Amino acid sequence: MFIWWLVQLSRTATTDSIEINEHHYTVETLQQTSILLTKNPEYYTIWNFRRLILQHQLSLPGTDSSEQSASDQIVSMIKDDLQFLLPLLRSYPKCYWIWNYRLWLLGEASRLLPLSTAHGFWQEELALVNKMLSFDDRNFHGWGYRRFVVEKLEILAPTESMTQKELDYTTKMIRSQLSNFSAWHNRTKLIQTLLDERGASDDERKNKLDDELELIHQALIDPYDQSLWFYHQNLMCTFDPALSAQAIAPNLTDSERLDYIRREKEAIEDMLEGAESCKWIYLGLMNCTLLQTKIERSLSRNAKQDVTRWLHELIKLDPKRRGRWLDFEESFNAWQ
Amino acid sequence: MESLSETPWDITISGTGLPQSLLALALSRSGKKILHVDKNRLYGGTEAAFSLQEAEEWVNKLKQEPGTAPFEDVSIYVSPEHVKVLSFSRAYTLSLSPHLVYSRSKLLPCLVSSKVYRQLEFQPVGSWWIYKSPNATRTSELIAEGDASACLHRVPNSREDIFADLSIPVKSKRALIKFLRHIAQPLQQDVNNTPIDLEDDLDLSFAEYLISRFQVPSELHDPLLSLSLAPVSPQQTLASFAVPRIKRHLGSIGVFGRGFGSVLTKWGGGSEISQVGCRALAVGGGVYVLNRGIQSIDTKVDLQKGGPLQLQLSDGEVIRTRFIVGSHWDLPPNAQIPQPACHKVARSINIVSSSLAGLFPVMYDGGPTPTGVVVVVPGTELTHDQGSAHVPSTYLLVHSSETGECPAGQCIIYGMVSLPGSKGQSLIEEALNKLLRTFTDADGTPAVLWSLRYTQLGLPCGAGYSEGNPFASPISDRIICFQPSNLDIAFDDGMIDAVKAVWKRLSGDDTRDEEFMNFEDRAGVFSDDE
Repeated sequence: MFIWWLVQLSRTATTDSIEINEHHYTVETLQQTSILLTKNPEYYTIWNFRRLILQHQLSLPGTDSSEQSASDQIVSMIKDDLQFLLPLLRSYPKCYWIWNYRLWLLGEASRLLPLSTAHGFWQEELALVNKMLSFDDRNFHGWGYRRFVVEKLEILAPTESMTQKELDYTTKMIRSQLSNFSAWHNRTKLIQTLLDERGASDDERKNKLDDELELIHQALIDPYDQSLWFYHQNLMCTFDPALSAQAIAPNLTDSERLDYIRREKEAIEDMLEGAESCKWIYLGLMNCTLLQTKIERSLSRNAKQDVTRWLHELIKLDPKRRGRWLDFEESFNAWQ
Repeated sequence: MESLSETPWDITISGTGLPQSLLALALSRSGKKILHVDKNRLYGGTEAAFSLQEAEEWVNKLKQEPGTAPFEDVSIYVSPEHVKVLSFSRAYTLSLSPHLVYSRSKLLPCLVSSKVYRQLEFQPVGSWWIYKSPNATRTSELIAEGDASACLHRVPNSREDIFADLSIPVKSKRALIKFLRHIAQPLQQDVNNTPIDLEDDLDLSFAEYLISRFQVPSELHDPLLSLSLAPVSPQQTLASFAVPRIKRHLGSIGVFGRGFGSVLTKWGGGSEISQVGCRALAVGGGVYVLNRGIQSIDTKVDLQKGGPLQLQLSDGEVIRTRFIVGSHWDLPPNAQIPQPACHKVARSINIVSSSLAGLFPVMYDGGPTPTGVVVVVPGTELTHDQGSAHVPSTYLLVHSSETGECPAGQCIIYGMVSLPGSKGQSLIEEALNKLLRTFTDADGTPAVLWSLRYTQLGLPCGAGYSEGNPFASPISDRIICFQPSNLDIAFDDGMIDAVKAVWKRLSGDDTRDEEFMNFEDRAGVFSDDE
């Protein structure tokens, strides 16, 4: 049964390639590619054939004397093709060829159509991303695609910045699922963009930092969640002299940084009560202390004792990474 | 065509309540000759659903013939000022069994494998709400209707809910999350892989358990307990009762869709399932006779010999059957079924003049709107009766018009409290009034237009059917009696166990368990399963 299907497929494909070779870019050939691709969307050669056919079809309007405007004909061709892709995407959401073809189609819309019409296509694409993320909110491919769509939309309508709306979207997604690595990650990028767009002053940047720290501490009522600590770590980069230039508030003084770190340590130590078996807390405390020593350029005896103590907790609680912690202990003991 | 008395029946089922109707479904492909009778005019028995007219008839019948059904203290209240607002009788389908069914309940796979699920429509049950009067030190949270005196709080179901609830202090939130994490784990060990000696802990009251093990402060005890649908206070409920039920509640969320863990059946709850079960048996050759109950069993015949039993229907007709199955109230006195030890609860069905839409927010953007919600009014919120130290919690199940139970713009509130008679009814009434007052707006306070009040007898919440399987009558082991219904708000899976036990007994020793409720589509039925 499978062999028969394979033979049919290759027969149609052969017919197709004959048609393509002879430049028969017709509606019939297009339909044949539809049949093949519905059966096997991974057959990328057929996607390429389809592209050639469509490219030809898209160049026709304006050259014939039909009643519809050229733009309208193009719109309906692209619309139809996007429709064709939808059931395939539902069945094969991870097939790269379908997505590549889709992006190519949308690119053609941008290339051939007036700005506002093209913008409409990309808007619908954003709606599609919303729908897909509502089914699978932690799919980083989906989030990456979203960033791409937003980028295109901003190019087509340069006066409207979408950053605040996108930031609100991440807030919504986090509220519905705290452990959303992709949402938190997107947030880090969007906040940077937002602050740059607004030409935010140092004070405004500091306020934003305070807001985000407040948010992550509210979320850290569950200290066992790794995604939250990732975001916390990202915020902590502001206090690292080596990384602060790319962070939210790059112009803090060293004493301000130390102040923040001290308060962070207190907050994290608070979390320990009732969660003594949570490795992330010890890791958080360790990182804070190491950052302190980096800024102060010295390692106090107390700090050394603390870090050693927390390292031993980590070795106990995280036996899978025992080697890593022991290795770190070795290089740490070699300091000073 | 043979008359009823000429047919040698294999099984006679008495009463069309849910257990009997599920049994009918289970037997619908057996090819046996089954007679299914009910002394009532309507299907559904203890799980029936009524129009306004039918409810009145039910009340009158019970007043004339008390003890013929597990209900007492029945009455109907019609609000005089609102008579015009009430819609016509058939606009309402008021259920005696507005169960919510948890997503992992045994009932649902049965309905699917028996193929009758297509005749039913299930709708999501939304948030749990708890009433906390504004005198409390915590600031009240506003609900959608924007009433500043609102004191309804969504009971948190997840970390995200706790994150969003601004009224809970951080330390309490941490304790709550710790408890949620613990509950979400398989019972044997905690994050450190140290085995927890659960036996000791679960002997404590739920309140003590929460404080000693998780440092959850007392103001969070009522909301947490409400997730277990426990009838009494946290001090009176054992952790061994509450913890597995909370586990079930939380573990059911997301099984059928985001944000909800239980469903209800459209068009009248248990009565709809009963009808579907009976329909299945009718299609399979079963004979249905309403308005006829079993008057008596012929005890002059030698019942132990193995020959057919002989019974007399209420119209005098004599029936010969090999087996008889029914509930305590569907079998005649001379079957000598012992009086079951019943718990009593006060219940009421109330038609309310507003949709109370604020109770039914969508579970997530673009998600479905729930059609039922649970509102809990802890005993401490209601006036204390002199002499009673602990007042039980009142549960108000609110069903929107989308359930088909009432016209748009109104809703049905099913009240229940673990105290019978007028004492229970006054608690429900007080709880109802408190709830309705939080919805006061420019148009006034929503009112109760009509109310059916009764006390129901049944097994207490937590007593499964498995304790004391359906038992046989002392005069013959071929007269089988189902235990009374469980008074739990959530559908009790013990009923499925009981039905299966009877099905096995009736089907013979060589029936395999996998055959229970497992049917192919009937020929000619288009299967649109993907």
